[in-house]
Amino acid sequence: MHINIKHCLFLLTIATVAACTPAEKPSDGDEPQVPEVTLPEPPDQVKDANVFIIDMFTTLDDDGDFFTSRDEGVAADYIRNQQGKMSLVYIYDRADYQPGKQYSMTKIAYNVGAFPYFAQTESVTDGSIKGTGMVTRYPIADFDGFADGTVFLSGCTVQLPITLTDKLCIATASIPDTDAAEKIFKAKKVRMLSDMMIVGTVPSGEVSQVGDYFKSMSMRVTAMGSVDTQKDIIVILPPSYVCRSIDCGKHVNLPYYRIYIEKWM
Amino acid sequence: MMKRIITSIFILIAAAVSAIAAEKPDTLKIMTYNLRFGELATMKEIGQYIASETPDIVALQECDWATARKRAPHQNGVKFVNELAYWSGMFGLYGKSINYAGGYYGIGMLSRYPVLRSERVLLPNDGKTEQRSMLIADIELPSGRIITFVCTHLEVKTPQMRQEQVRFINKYLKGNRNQIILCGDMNAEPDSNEMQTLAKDWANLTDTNLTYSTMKPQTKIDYIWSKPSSKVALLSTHVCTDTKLSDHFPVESQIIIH
Repeated sequence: MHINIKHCLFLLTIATVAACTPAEKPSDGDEPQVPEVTLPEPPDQVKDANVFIIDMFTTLDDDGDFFTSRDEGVAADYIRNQQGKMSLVYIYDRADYQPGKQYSMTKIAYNVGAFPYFAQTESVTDGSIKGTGMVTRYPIADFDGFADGTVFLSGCTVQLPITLTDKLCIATASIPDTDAAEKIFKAKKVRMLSDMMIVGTVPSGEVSQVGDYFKSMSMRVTAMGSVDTQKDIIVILPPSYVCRSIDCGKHVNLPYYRIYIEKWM
Repeated sequence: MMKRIITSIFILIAAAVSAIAAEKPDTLKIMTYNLRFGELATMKEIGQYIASETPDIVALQECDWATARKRAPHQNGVKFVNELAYWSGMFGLYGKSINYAGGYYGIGMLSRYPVLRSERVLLPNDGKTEQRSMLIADIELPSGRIITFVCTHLEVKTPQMRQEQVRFINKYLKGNRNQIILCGDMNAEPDSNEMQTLAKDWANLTDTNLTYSTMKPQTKIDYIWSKPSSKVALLSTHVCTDTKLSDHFPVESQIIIH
């Protein structure tokens, strides 16, 4: 192992200067700002035309790759044969990826003519990488994300089937605790308060604290889980969106949660 | 004061760790390939060829998405990047340049490693020539290093417009601190003003062998560039003349990033 001495000396200089600089009033420029407004409540009446659907397939347990014991063909069949309002995005929790191997999302997308995406939830290795798969009906070029080696957020921007102009980044993340939540919000607060939503998972024991944190940052939060699973689903929305309901179901052996979101403002 | 000293020590330790991590080199096999809208081969043939070459990242040009192009009826409705991802076992990324024949025409990318962030950026256009674009992706490598990979296909008709596009690319990527790899069909020969402009800041990671056309090779217009040039070294490069699945030969370079 070779240490870059020049790099270290440079950083030592910076650290020394930092240590000797008189303490000032801390700047809050980098800290998440809590908007000083009370979130207006959305109307009770749901406007169906403004509702879009996201399907999340998950066991809500960290029990390995979702498709180890499930078939991509069944997942493709679900998308192909969906009746009524089509889902905007299909999310597959723990659809892990191994570099060089054909990815389950690619197989699904190939079968239904959609577009696949992998949102990593851990650092890249040559072995299997934990993550979440996403499939949309649109060819996407705009992905956005945040990674610091421990916390990962990743999503793609899609056109909402509501108006010709509304676009939303649908992101996913595995959020272990409030520290991770804070890192995510700090990195993406501008988009999170306007045009980025997160559909992710949180350990069941942490969901209330993580939810409270995002609520305190003026986000709308809905969570759902069950007593016998390790994780809960969490839906984090900008103020102009509201989660109207989450239904759970099963297609063959694929458990899923159907999330109804309305852009109400 | 003590608190600040402790914080600074932490900063120093973290920085030293990052300095050590930054020393770990990454070896990558990069390919750039103009597909000529799949006129000469199926996506299965091209995808399997790409897989056999085992590249880490591939820049693709002339990619259709569900068009009804008359010159390639066997590709009608085919979503190139999706099919190539399927047959190569890599991640696919698509960047639309224009609407075409009921679908899209543009550029794409295949990556062995997941994409963290990406965007499609339209290149300057005078309204008289076909709209071109660049597709930019931040990719995390197993070492933890994040690189920026850029695929483009420059204007074919006028050197002035290409020069403008080259300047735009340089300006757009100026603030990017990652190692950047820029690949594509530049529609310009190595001694052109456009490529000479690129050569000022970028390391050319290809040789001078001809890349176009496969039937009658007479020019080099496909390139792999990288900057900062001080952090990258070329291990090997070659024009893959063993395949004629397009009118361009694929170009492949093995590089090491320090």
